[in-house]
Amino acid sequence: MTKTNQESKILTGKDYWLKKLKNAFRVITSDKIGLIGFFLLLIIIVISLLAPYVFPLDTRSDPTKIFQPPSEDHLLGTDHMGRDIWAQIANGGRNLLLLAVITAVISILIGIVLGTISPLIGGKFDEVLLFLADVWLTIPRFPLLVVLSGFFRLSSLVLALILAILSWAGLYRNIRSEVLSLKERDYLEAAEMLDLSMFHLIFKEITPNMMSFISLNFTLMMRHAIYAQVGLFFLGLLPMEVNWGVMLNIAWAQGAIYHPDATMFILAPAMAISLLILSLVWINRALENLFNPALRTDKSD
Amino acid sequence: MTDKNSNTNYYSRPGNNRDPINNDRPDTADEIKEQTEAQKVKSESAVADLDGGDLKINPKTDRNKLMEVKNLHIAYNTDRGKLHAVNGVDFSIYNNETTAVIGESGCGKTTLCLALLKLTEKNARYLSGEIIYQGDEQEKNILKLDEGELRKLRWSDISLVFQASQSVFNPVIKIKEHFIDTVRAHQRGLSAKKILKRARNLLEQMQLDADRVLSSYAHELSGGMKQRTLIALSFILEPKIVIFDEPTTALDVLTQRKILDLLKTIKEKNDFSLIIITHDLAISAELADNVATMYAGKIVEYGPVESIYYQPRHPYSYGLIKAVPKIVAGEGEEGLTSITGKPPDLIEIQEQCSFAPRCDFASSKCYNTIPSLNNIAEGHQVACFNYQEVPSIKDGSHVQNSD
Amino acid sequence: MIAQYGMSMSEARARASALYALDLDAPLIQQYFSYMSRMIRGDMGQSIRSPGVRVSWIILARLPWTLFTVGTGLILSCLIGVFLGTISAFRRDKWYEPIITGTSSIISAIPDFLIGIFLIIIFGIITWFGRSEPLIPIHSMRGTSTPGMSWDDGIFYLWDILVHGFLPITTYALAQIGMWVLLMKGSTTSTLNKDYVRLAEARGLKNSKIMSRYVSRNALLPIATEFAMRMGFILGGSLIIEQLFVYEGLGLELLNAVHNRDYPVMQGIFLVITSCIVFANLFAELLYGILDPRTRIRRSGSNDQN
Repeated sequence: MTKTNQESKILTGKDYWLKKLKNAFRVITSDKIGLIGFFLLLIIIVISLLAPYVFPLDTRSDPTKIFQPPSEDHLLGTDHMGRDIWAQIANGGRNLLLLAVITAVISILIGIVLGTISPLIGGKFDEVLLFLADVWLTIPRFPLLVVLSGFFRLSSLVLALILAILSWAGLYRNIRSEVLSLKERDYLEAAEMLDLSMFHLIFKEITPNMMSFISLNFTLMMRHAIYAQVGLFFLGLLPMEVNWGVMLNIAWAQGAIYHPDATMFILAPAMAISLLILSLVWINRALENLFNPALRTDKSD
Repeated sequence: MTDKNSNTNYYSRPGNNRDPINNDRPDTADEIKEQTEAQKVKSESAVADLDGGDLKINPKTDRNKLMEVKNLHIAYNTDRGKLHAVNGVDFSIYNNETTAVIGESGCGKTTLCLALLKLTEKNARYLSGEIIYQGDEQEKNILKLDEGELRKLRWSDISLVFQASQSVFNPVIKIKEHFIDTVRAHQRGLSAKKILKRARNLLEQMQLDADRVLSSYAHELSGGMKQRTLIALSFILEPKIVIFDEPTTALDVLTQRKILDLLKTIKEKNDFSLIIITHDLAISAELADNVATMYAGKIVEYGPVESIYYQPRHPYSYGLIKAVPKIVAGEGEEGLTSITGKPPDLIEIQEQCSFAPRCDFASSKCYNTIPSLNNIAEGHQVACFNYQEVPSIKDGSHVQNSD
Repeated sequence: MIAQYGMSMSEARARASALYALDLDAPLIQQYFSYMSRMIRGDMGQSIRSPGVRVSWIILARLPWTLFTVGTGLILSCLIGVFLGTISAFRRDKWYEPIITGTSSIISAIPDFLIGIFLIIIFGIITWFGRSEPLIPIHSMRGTSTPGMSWDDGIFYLWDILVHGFLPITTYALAQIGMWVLLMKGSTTSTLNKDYVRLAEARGLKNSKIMSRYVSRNALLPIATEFAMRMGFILGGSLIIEQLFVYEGLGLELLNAVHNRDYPVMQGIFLVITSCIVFANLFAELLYGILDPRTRIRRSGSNDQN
């Protein structure tokens, strides 16, 4: 293959993605709820990124300002140490989001690689992996994480890794069946005839066809990751830092719940988490519509 | 068509109320070929020599109108706008006759037939028109009936054999429950024993092992068995009109054959009107007395089966027949022509003959006026300005010209 | 364990062998099999925290509370969800349909423990309508029952249990109800479009008959299997909620064990949770086989597919 040929091929690949992206954008914007979800996530991301510069965290505690209700100075009031709650909310989503993305990326990579290799190799390997995936799917994830945190000291990053390893099975099965059906089709054979590498096969020829599974799984994985993180932080099983889960934990431990003025301390992170997950759910719904147009159009003769 | 005494004798009907193809049905493909060729010669002579030939001119005079569809318009509400699936249809069903509705898929055939039972999907709107049914008592407009009256009418007067007969049985109850449910919905308190006796009788007529079928679930039956079971079910209340929507589409050739034969037998033994929706012209040629050609939500030609197959007057009917190898067999591949182009988008409202863009005979008039369905001969109506230019099927030279 | 409890190696060995009743001098594989066979017989060793207390006793003492709350929540949410889902599928043109569907999709997205927190805030903290007290006295509703009460108090004890279980049950029910609504709505809607429903209509069957015999019976098939599957998560889903309401069930016990590094208890509870899921999966598969004649025949091998 000549160089110019390869270049043109890459270009068409780029065009393909651009087209896909444009299409995705079009459908997401045509779906009102998807649009709301999209903007909600965008707002959360922007606030999280800008917060260190715009809403810096209070580092000192101020005993005179404990559990103040919302006011002009403190948009959401203050916590048990007199610190501003809004600043904590603004800064508290960053790590959650980052780790959720890391989890999703890793688990999807595992899913894609195993899901593609397994049917291509086939035979016993495929069978064993499929059986393993079935077993994997029955593992109760959250209790296992809780038990693991009893054995090891988990950091957020390790947690992301464990979560990813725990959740490859679903995507693996999707992709495996997709690859199996793609295997029959002609263009893959053509690619094989051209003696392209396995890597090329996976990432250039097969993956674009599975964007639906991947993007749906991405938002789903992020949801699971956020749930697990927040849950473990709330239970106090992960090291403290500033995030919404830890805020919940502290608020709970400090008895904010029995202090009517401090309601905001617990309500704010709970709302923030709910909104983040809702935005992911709505985007997921819009993506489903994008990839499954049959659900979208009305039936007509 | 309502004029029963007309004696235009160009378009003939055989006196025995059966079309000639039915009389000695060929058994093998070769025989079909031979026979169609023979018939071609026959019809040629009938057309060429009006008084001679084997076909006796014998217009039917004792037709009783059972159902009349008047100016029916049905549209679906869709994302893109109103989809006019049925766009001004007039036609009648006569007692004890078989009418075939032919046309490409998506031309509104199925919608029309569902409308006869007012069974169309929820997003269908009846814009105008009426469907007059002459039941036992007085005339009824089916579209004006309330739910209860409709429910009584359905299946006991008009039954419908669905296109997708493979999934028409509830998978979690046995076949016999379907028979019992159906009969009890119309004749309350009838004992299961009596119902099943009737069902057994019908199933045996369809050459099925009745006891086995009745105690089976749908998935335990093969496709052909399911289809025959559904046909048996459609006769359980002795309806006056039975509608078959693509009765054999999903089946293999041998099963198709069997079902057609059974249908013919059952038609001979019982009095009822049959409507067959099909895109398989061979089936309609074999079973029908009348043929209605549908295009873009309209009936563009209606007439006795022999007339339409040997002397179609609408370019679309002509194209359909020319596109089928069996009917024009003998001329070889050269004789086959397909209709170029696509049917129109039913969402756009047409101000012209909807077939004009695909038509070889279209004149400028066709592009600015909508042709209406006119009588051109006894029992033969066509919606075309240039119907006289449409060649008869035997004429090979016209086929060459139209290419 | 050695580092955590500051024991010497020999002490630890003695302790471990006592806890798990193992012969530590036997080969490792034999130890493993001996451990496994005990597990299967229900002997999960003893607690580290409270020596002499068998893990199985602890589990047996806590299990009923979790089963009661999560189970009641599951059944309630399923019943209400199926009802609402059926309504919203049949009445797609009514004004309340988008409200049911919209609320369900929001509720089903919110993590269960946040629903619990919201419940506490709404009913337990905020004082509504100028009242001086919140709607529900959450202080007195912690735990599984009021201390000191027992079955000797008869009907009062039963009432007490219900009062204490109220918030956890409501949380479990709310957390799952949206899922049931959406599942039932989807299932019913797709069944309504099935050919056999249209044919039933064409056959002039009464609407009530079509709905009960043709639509609901088929629409409930996936619901039944999902219910069976969910039963597996009865024990696993209760961790944070029990912590939230200080409800002394299996989940709270597991958390305490984790905080106390009580490994035998942790292992035992996790084993119970996992086997519950495995059994529920098996049960779901069996149930589906019973409910759907198609699978029933396929198993017996006389299926005549065309």
